[in-house]
Amino acid sequence: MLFKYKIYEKTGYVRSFILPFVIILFTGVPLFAQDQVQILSDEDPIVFSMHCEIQPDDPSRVWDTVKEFASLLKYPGKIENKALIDDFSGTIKVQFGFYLYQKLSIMKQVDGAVFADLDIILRNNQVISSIHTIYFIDYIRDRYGKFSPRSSKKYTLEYLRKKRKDDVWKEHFRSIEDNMDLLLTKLEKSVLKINEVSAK
Amino acid sequence: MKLILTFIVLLLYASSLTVLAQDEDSPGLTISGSVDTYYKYDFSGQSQIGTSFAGAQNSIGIGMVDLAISQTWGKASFVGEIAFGPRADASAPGPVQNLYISYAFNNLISVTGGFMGTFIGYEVISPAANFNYSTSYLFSNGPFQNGGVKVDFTFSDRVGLMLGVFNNFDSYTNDDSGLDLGAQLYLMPVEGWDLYLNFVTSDDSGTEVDITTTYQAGDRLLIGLNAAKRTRGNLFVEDEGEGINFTGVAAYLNYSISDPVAIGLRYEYFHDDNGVILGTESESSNVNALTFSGNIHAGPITLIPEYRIDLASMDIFSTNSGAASSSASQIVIAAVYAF
Repeated sequence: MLFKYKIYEKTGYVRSFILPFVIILFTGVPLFAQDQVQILSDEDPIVFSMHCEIQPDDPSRVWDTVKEFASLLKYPGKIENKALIDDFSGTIKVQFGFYLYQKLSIMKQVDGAVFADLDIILRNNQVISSIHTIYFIDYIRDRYGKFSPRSSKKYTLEYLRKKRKDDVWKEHFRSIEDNMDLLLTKLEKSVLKINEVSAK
Repeated sequence: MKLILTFIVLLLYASSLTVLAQDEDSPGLTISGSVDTYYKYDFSGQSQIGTSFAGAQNSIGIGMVDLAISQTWGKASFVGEIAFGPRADASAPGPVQNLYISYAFNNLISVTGGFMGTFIGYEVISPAANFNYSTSYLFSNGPFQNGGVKVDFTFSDRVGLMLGVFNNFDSYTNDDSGLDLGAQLYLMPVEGWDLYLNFVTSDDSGTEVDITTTYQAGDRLLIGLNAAKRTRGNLFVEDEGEGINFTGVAAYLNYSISDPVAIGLRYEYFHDDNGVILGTESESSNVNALTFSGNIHAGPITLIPEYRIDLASMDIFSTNSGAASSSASQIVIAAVYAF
């Protein structure tokens, strides 16, 4: 089933991510970016794609990436066929992640990390966004004294909810919400900025 | 004692710095570690299985208190880990277990320099990261740490490569002129299956080739395998009959019965090429070791009851009456508190 996010106008109301995100949390079902991408037709003059991998605990790099994207719009000469900014279409593919901490620690001990893949598609001053995968990786303190993945096994958030005690899960859920909120707030600002540049 | 007090003062100071630094959007420090204690009884009446740690017979023994601080700030990170106790004394030339700085130039390349837990093998020094409390022959006779500089290449989620130059094994300094060359190839053939191909060599330390792999088969079952071959180096060796030469394989099955309870089996075959490790006076010998362990989790505490039996090809053990024997068995009950 196709799950579509709201198509945003110039105001870039990206906080609408949150509702579908919460739905994803409890279904643990990987989503649907392919259908979103098909919205871009072959007639689009440019499809600019940027892939950015964000390290855990560093969601601010998403912001840096989007700022870099915006800077490209300021200098259309960097884009190969020099299309008009008004016709610009682009996709930012972002993989971001953040740690979940255990409450038992003196300061903080990493319980695991949540990763999500996010597509941000811009076309004619419209923004379409989607989260198409989200998963949890279990961490352990390794031989180097760092917290690192116990294995490459990816778990759904539903698995995490079942495996953790209620109070731990609630703490983790709040952490996920906070990180998403931080990310989306920054994206909202960046989308506004992109649209301001595009409108000039 | 002075060293411990100094460390505690530094730790408190670091904690206060963390609070200040967090005000400036720093990521803060991560503090983690463990303490462990155990009771062991070898049925011969004396401790005789020659693997690392847990050597106290019929007494409440202590492992180590282990404290690690770490931070990742943008592209830079560091780890400082210090430990005290019999387990720490037997695993490092001093109290420092890890001390290194890393810098990630980008998503592909990162460089790390300092003193690091070895990349060789399946088991580790920290009891909090092992399923079994007693250790394998492969672990006990391989390197514990490598100090040096390494470059990690992360080609994708599924492929990584590490290349490095290191001091001699388990040393804060290089004891001679030659450096060790080390490499690790990481592969993830399928999700949940992690495969590490490890190699380290020098004229002085010798050469060890190691395969370490785990497969998470579903949510409850973890399958692990470690195989290694080590040949002697020149360091501290005066003739051909000396030095460590071994081949071995260890298999691990860990099964989670419920959230707080898991059971595990370790089987190991270990072949000592020249009798140096198993004490068979220049004759090659081998040992088959079976270890059954439980992990019972209660918050930060893991209780590890364990039974182990070692069966050797020669009479390298003794019975309760003092007669030579080819087998030894022991029980261990350990408690590990990890934070």
